[in-house]
Amino acid sequence: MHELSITRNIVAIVTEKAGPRQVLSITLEIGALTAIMPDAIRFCFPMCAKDTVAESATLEIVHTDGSELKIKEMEID
Amino acid sequence: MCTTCGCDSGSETHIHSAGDHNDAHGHDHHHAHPHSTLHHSHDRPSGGNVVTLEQDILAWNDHLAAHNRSDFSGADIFAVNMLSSPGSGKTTLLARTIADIGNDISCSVVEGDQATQNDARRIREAGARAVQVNTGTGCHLEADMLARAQRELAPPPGSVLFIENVGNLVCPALFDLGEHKRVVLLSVTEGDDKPEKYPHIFRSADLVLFTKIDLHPHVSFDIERCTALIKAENSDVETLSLSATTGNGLNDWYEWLRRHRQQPAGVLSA
Repeated sequence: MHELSITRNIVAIVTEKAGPRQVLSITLEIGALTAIMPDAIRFCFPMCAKDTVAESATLEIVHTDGSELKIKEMEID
Repeated sequence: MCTTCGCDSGSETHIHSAGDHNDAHGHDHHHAHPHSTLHHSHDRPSGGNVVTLEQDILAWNDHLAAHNRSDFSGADIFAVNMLSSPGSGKTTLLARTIADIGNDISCSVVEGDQATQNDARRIREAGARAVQVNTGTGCHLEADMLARAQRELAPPPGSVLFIENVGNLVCPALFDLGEHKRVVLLSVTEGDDKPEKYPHIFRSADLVLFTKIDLHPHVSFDIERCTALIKAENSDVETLSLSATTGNGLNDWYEWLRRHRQQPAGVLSA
């Protein structure tokens, strides 16, 4: 279940960047060669983001063919 | 909360040295991440501001892995990451390897398991130094765990450092530890379609070892078919067959270790 550690990284990165501001949405880019299940990221996200400024954020996942695994952007209030 | 591994906040990764129960190295996860600047932001009709991050989610692990690799190369240490499903014979092969070539080549081992000191004990009984990393609920080793374990182990210059990853064909494939070579073991008691089922780990391998070939006459594992499936995922990979019980094929494994260990550090690939 490495998606749990991946999702914790995502939350850590966006909350660090957002500071006190609420995160409205997060756009991820996940390549087909990364062995990451987007559904598992979605499953883990509410637990990882609970009680953080990203708690209410929606996840947008852009699927690519390569080995991309990154946070493209986020929307903050 | 630990943000660099999948362990629960209540669980800890423990590193145990030869003295057992040395808990001086408790929870020490790095929570920092490489800082990227906020490249640009602009308003959205919804009222929110879009912040471009373009940040690699595994950047921190990869950064630590690069440091590990540089440290190993600088000390002329050949680091080999051993990956497989549980029970394919990683520890048995390492114990046999240490017994056979340990007098010529100094070997040490970082053992990764969710729990117990059993594997580190087996390695020490075989005559090498070992540090056990217990990942708790974690399903793989990460670069920071290896960094702490190798500081504890302090492998001597010119030696081979084996890293026995947590038995798992999925998660360890994703995490670079800073090794020079990746070796994936596949025992003939498993299914010969594993490379199709778990392609990522085979794509990342430098060498695949078919283990327990002394049992091959009794099982239906098709080595030729399996090799073709591995090559379909990774045309550069080497394959060898061996039995750590009978010793069959071990000389080829030792020759592979010697050959790659002698490469100048600069040409060792990840």
